[in-house]
Amino acid sequence: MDLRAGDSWGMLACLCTVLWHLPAVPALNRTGDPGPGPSIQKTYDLTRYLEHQLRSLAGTYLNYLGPPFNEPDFNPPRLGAETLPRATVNLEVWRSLNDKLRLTQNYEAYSHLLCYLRGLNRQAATAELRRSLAHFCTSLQGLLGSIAGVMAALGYPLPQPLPGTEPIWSPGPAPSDFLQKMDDFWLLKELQTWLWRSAKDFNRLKKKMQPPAAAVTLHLEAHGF
Amino acid sequence: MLNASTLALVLANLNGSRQQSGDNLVCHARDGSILAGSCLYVGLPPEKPFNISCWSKNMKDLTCRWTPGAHGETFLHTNYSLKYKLRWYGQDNTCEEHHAVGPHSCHIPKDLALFTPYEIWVEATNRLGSARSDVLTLDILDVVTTDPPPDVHVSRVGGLEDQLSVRWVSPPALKDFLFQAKYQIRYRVEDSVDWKVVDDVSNQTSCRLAGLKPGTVYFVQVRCNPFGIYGSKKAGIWSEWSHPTAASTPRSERPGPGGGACEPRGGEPSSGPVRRELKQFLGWLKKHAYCSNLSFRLYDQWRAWMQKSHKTRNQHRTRGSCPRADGVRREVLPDKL
Repeated sequence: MDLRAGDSWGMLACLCTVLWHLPAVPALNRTGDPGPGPSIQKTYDLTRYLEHQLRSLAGTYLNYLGPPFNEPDFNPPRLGAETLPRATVNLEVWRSLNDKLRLTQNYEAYSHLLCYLRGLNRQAATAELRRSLAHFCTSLQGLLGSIAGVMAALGYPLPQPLPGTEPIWSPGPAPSDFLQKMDDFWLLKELQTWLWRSAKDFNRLKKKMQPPAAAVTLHLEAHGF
Repeated sequence: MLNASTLALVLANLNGSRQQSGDNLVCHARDGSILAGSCLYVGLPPEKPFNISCWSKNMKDLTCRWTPGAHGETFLHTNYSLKYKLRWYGQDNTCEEHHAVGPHSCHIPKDLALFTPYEIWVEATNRLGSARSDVLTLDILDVVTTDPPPDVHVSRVGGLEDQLSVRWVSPPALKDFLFQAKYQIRYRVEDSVDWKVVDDVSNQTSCRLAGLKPGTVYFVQVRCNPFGIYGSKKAGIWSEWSHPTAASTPRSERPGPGGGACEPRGGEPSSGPVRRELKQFLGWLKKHAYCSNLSFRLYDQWRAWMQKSHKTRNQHRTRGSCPRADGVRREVLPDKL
């Protein structure tokens, strides 16, 4: 793995094999089941909930990092942070994603982000921060499970990590304090962007799966008119 | 007039050059012959452009428009350049397709990204200096607009003299977006400039205008807003109005002491209790003369009223327009008169 200054999560203890081997979700009984609709809705709701949770977590964490990270107009150029899964995507590409790819990208992104977030948790200074981070990690784990459920319901295989691409821990020189904080900042930013994007991804999936709404037509019988 | 030893001269308070080719400056000798000349370009450095507004048509591109500072009157050729940059990433880009929708506009057709905001600004440059607008930050998904609804049809509602039925089709591009559409209808009498607006027409493709003047030509337009893009609770940007469609309400055929068309107003002699009730109801209906604004309760009240007076034959029929309650869409279909 290419170790760059500031790319701290590449160096964090990250034996995340457990994430890649989530217990297999039993295939849904197809006869009479409501389809993937309810679980897509649940996943959508989860992203909104997580988005809300992240807002307060990020606020607390950025205050802990101190200025300039907690300043509202902090606008640094994005250097390093190459290994973070990027939510920003070309408009045409995003629109033309098929369902499988859309779901896979979400799943892989959150797997990585959860891994990095757990690394963050290990280093967090205050107990309160560790608690908030742990709580968020649990929710994020729930989201991953929910996405896995949707993929299983639709018959898509869960992405398996290719050999060699799993994030592994390699000890290296500790980056500077400022660069470390910069990495934390980008991690939170990317989480925020992904959650915002996922809401749109799942909303799009939700609409696609919906049967067309039946229109109720009322015929007025005019008596004697 | 200058003396022979003058080597420099200051010309003050010149008016701006009227043409791009500049003004002629000519030095004459005392006898009128020309000694030398030059070309003078008199103008002002550009002022800060402002009021940048952008929109994405059907989530495919981005078009921006701005207002030049000082009404753009610099008297010199001034170059306006729309620049944009993806926040956090990327370098500055310059928009190439100028004059998309007027002199101070530009169109970005592709290579746009979602989920990270864009920073957009305008740089104005001429030979005397440059100026830069404030930076506008926006998300593509927040500035989406669409086409006006095609196929707008306006027709009479049987013989009802105060109603017209408007039908349209949802813009086809919306199908790809899975947005909810909101519509607005505006209508005016032929020789008037005052438009009446029917707001809040949600997700329907027809509407009944009520409370209109009989025997009158109306112009009707419809526009569309892609609301709630991918689950957001926000409105998009309204489309342009559709081409005006004209239709006329039927002439009033009610016989009455005054003769000719008359609207139910106070002061007319009553001709029966039902007629009076009907007039009262029509008067009430006129106050609520827009579709889908009648609450379901009122609609039921009206139905009850109708059943109460159904025994009395009356050549006037009244129908409510498309009421909605709790998201259930009901369409009232007119029976044949």
